[in-house]
Amino acid sequence: MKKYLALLLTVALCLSMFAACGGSAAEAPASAPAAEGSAAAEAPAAEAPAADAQPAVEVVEQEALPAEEEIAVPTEPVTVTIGSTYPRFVGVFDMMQIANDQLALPAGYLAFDTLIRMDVLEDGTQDYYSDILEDYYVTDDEKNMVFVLKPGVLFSNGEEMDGYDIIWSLQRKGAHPRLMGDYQMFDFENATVDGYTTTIPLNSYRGDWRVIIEAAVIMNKDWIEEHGGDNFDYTDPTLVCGSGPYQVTEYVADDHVTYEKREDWWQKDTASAAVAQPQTIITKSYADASTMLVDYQNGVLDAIMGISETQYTQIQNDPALGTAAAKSSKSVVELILDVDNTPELADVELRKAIAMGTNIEDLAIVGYGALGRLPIGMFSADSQFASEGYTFEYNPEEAAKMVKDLGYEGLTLPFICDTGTADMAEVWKEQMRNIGINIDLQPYDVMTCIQYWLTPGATAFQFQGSDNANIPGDPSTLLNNMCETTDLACMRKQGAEWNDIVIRARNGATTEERREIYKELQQYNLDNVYCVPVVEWLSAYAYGANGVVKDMIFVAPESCNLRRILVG
Amino acid sequence: MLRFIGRRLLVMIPVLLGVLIIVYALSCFMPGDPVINKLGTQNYTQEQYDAMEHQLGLDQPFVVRLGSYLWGVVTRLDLGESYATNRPVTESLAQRVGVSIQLGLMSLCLAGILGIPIGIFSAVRQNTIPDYTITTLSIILASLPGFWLAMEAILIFSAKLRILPASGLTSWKHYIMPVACASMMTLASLVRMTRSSMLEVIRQDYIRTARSKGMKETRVIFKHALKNALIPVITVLGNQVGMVVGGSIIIETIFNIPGMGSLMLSAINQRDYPVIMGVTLVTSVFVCICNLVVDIVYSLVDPQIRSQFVSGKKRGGKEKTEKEAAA
Repeated sequence: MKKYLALLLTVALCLSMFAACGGSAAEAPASAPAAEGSAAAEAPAAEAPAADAQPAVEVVEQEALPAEEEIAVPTEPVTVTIGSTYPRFVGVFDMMQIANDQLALPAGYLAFDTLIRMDVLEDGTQDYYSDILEDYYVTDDEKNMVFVLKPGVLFSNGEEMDGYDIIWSLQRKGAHPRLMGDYQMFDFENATVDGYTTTIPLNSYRGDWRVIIEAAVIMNKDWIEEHGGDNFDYTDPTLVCGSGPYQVTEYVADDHVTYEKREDWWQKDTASAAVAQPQTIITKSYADASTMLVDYQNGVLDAIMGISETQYTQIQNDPALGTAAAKSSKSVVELILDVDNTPELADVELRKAIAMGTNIEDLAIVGYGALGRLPIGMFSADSQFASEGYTFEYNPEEAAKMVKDLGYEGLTLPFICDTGTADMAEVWKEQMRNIGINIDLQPYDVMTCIQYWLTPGATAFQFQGSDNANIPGDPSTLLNNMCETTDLACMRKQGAEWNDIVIRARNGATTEERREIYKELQQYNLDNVYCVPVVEWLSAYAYGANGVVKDMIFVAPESCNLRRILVG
Repeated sequence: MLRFIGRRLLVMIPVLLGVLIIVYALSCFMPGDPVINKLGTQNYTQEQYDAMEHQLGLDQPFVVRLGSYLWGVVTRLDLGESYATNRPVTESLAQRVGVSIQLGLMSLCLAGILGIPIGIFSAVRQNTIPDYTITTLSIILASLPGFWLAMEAILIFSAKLRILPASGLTSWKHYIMPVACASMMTLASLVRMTRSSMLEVIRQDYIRTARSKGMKETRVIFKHALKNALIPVITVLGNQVGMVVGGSIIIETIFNIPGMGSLMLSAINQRDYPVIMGVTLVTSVFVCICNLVVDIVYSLVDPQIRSQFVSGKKRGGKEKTEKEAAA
């Protein structure tokens, strides 16, 4: 009897615990709500998929910056705390690290100025923009790059920025192992400074030069040399000396950074000035998105970035949680076919069958849910180089027939994918099974995957983002990895035509020209099936639960450009 | 006793060397290339790859790398530089180890303070409702995954009730949930260990004798039974104390605490061998030291064990003197 009573007591305790948890779970909305009208309207017309089958996507339209008279300037100093799951959201203040898009750092935009950056202009359009330059151009003979500084750009120690700071900063950024290739176009040895004009000779000319120098942060050369030079301690917050609107006042490693607005900021009349900025910005890093959401709900955080799809829909459906917004990551996930190392995939007809048997709607939903949208081609729909109509038609019956007719029925091909795309890969494996191809799927962590991807013939397929938050929207990761010089054997394409088109695009002088060449490239891909665009993923963020943040204006959240947080 | 401690300290050297060699070998031979991690997979030449490989010292044969690492550790306490941040590993460890120790010790204290008395209570009241309840709950607690417990705690106390903060370690309130969650598993095993150990001891003849002499029950339990029952409990606690330095990957990740566990996790993901080795070395040293301390504590608790520490010569001499006296 006593035993039963004790058991009853413990069961009751457990049930009450589960009930407590279940209560909040019930409040949480379904992870994939039905597509809304606006989402259906935004779906790419080219593929005309059924509206109810599409992922529910509502991408925030880019708003213009508010006019000065529209800004409700807060009477009290406002502190904004922003949480993020982005890698190294709170990181070192060595701006060379911003070279790698995975390491986008808020400090680069708050405490420093970039040479140029892709940003939202006053009229709401997106273009390259510079706070510190009056002019920048490549000379007509394509032999020199010229930067003309605005007079009176001051670092936080009161020193004026000069051309030597620009040369030193670019040189240092170019020393980053990942950027050595791109920055070899500059001949830093023969660079000259004449007043506010800096001229850097070019070893070679590349049409995408603005993409290369985008977000290059300018540091104070003299300050760094005075405080240790090569031994400068980039982790010391007291040594951060930039020309940006904020100054670092506190840095707790791997936890948070506090930025205070500079009262003596040199800049008075720019697009950025038309935004009521907080007095203090605290950036806080989170390893776990669910903990971050709880802190946001409890008012510890005023805004959160890098939220999951479930959290995005939860916030969208609960007005008390403020505004959930999603913007393009400017990256399309592509299924890349290893044409050169998998003998069967050398057959273009088999490749066409695989593309035809791939249901991208299902993959988009499984992979990204509400934060995935159907691609319009190899490039992001938000990219300045995008054009519609370059995806493959889905026709599993025809694909199965082709596989059978070609004699590939029952063929088994290896697929090594990273754990982040394993769900999508599982679904795709089923799709391939339906057309008669077996996929030997093996998911690993990214570092292990790379080891396999470097080995010729280890995998016949790979999911690869066209780029990781490349703010100007240039799919450089995809293009670089699919060219003949890459080390990733599974992506490398030996077809001379592909490489020729990419090189021509690189040397195109204008955005329009490059867009046209990229159209040619995408048509070439449609004919030869080197890669299948699968899904464009969106990055989500939320703000305003406690009414402090009114809007967050940026091109893409991954840039971590927090200059234009609107408070009121 | 001093000889015993000295001998144990000497034994630690091959143990630590063994741990370092095994972990170094495992991390070096697991798939993943730190050079590629630094360079990316594009836009670099073979020369640049070779230069980076040389810079990281990865162009040397495995044995040479291992030898130079061990030499650096032994002669200069140099754990190398992180591949990811280019900062000395000792710096990263110094920033994080305090947080993990603080959190770990607090959770162990909580587990000890609650677990041992509850275990004693359960043993003394064997086969009663409180005993069944405690046993069932401790089994449930021991089988609950740490991540689930932590997430449910956040959901209930932070998201629903809003009485405790979900992340960080800035005030006493911040410690409650991580410490409680981290201590649950140890608490459950301590309760079960104390209970079973106490049950074994209180059935011994000498306990019966003590009771028959009319000794008070509390005195029997706490003076005579508990001391002997604590031996296995000390073993569990000792091992746990050593492990606190390594931090808890799950608790630190969920509660957003920058400790050794989260450092280890990111180092593994980035194939940052020097950091992996650094965390392993520090944890191993602490585990070895704690094992030594546990052995010493045994001797304080149990006279039988203490007698083993006394050298045979001394013991022999004493026995001889006693025999002579008897004669």
